[in-house]
Amino acid sequence: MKIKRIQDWFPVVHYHCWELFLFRLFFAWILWETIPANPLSYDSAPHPNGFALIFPVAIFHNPEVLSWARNLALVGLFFYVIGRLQWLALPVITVACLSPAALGNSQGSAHHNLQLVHMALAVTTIWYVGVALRNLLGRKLQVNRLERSEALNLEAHFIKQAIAAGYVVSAITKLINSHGAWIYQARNFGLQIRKTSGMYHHNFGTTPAESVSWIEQIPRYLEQLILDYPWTGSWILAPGLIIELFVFLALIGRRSAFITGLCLVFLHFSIGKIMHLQFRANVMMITLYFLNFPFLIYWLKQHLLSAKETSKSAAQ
Amino acid sequence: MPYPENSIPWWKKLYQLIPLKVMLVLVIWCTLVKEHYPFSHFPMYSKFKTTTYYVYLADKDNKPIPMLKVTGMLTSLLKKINDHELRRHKKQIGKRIADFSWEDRRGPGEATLQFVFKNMSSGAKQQVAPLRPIRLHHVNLQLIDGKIVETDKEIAREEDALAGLIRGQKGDQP
Repeated sequence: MKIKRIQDWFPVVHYHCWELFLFRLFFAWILWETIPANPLSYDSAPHPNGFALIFPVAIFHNPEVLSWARNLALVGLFFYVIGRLQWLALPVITVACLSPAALGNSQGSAHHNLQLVHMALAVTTIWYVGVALRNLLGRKLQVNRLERSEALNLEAHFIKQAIAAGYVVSAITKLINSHGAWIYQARNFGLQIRKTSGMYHHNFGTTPAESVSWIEQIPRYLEQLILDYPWTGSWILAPGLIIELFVFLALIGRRSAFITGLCLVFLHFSIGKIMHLQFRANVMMITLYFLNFPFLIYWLKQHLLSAKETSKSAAQ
Repeated sequence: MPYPENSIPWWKKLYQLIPLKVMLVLVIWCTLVKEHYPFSHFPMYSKFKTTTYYVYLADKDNKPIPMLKVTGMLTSLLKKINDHELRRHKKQIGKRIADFSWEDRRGPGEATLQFVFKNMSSGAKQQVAPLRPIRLHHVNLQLIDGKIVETDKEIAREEDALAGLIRGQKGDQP
C-alpha cells in the first residue's frame, strides 16, 4: 500500500548500545549546562509564561533552593544516564532545568537559546512518565513489550523529532508572519544586520573599527551588499528557510541526519558570524543526535579495516 | 494486541499510518500556543520590515555604556523588555506602535529603566554608580531609498524612572 510506505520513510534507527549510552551521557551534560550555577537576579515572575504558570519558579531566586535543585538534578541525571528509573529521574531534572529558564522568560521577554533542549527534555519526560502511568493503570503500551534497547532507540527517535519540530515550526512561523513573503522581505535584511551589529557593539562598548579581522567585517560587507543589491538578501536567506522547513528529512536515516546536521551547523555558524546570535545548546544537540561523530569514527574504522582485509586477501 | 488484524478500527489504522507523530504534535502545538516555555513558535526574524530599532544605556554624559560588561545584561534583553512595555502602552493609548511619537515612547522607556534597576546585581549597581544618572537611548533604523537612516534619541532618564518606581511602590501608580 502506497500510504504505508510514507511511514516507512522515517524508521526508528537502531543504534548500538554504546551509541545510546553516549547519547544519554552527552544529553545529560547539555542539560546540566542549562542549570545556572548562580541564582538569577529576578526575584519574581511578573509575567508568568509556560512552565511558570504551573510551578512557582520564583523560588529559584533563592540560592539554597537552586543548590538543592542542582544536587537533585545531578542524582537524576546519573539515573538517566545509566538508564534506570527514568520515570522518576526525568521529572526532577525537568523541574531543575526548566524553572530558572522559565523564570528568565517570565519577565516580559522571551529568549530562545535553551528552548530546543528543554523541549526535547519535556518530550522525553512526558514519554517515560506516560509509559509509567499506563503501566500503573494496567494498560500496557506496545513499547513495554519491546526490548529495553528498543525503548531507548525510541527515546532517541523522539528527541530527534523534537529537534526537527523546533526548526520546522520556526520556518512555518516565518511563512505565517510574513504572509508567505519571507524570502521577498529578505531584501530588507541589511537593516537587521545593522541592528544586531549595533546591539552587539553596545554590549561590549566596541565600535565596528577597520582594524578587525576580515571575518568580523563580514556583517558590514554583507549589509552593504544587500543595500546595494537587495535581491542578494533573498538569495542569502532562502537556503536557511528551506533547511529549516525540511529538517525532518534528517529522520530518514543516519546519512540524512548527518547531511541535515551539517547544514544546520553551517546555518548556526553563519547566523553567529553575521548577526552575533549564538545558539550553542542547539548546535550541541545537533552535533550529538544528527552528526553523531562517535558513530562516524566507528564507521570509518570498520571501513578501513575491511578495506585492509580485502587488500590483504587479494595479495595472498 | 486487543483487536484481531482485520477488525482494527479505521481511526486506529489511520493513526498508525501517520509518520513522525511526535514532531507533528509538537509543530501543531507550538504553532497554536506560541510562547509557552519550553514551547515556542520561534518568532524571531519572522518578518523583515523597512524600519526597526534598538535601545542602549548611556551614562550621565550621554556616552554609551558597555551593557554586558557593566550591567551583566544584554541589549537584546533591554529591547525585548522595551517591546513588551511598548505593547502594554499601545493597549492603553490605542495607537499603533509605528505611530508612537517620542513622547509616547517615554513611559515604556522609563519602565525599561526601572527593570534594569530592579534586576541589576549588587556588583553591577556598584559599577553603574559612577556613571549615574543613566539614560535610555532609542536608535531608530529606517530603510529609505536603499539607505539606512539612523536616528538616535534619548527617551528616558533615570531620575524620572526612579521617581515612577517610588510612586508605584507607594501605590500612587498602577
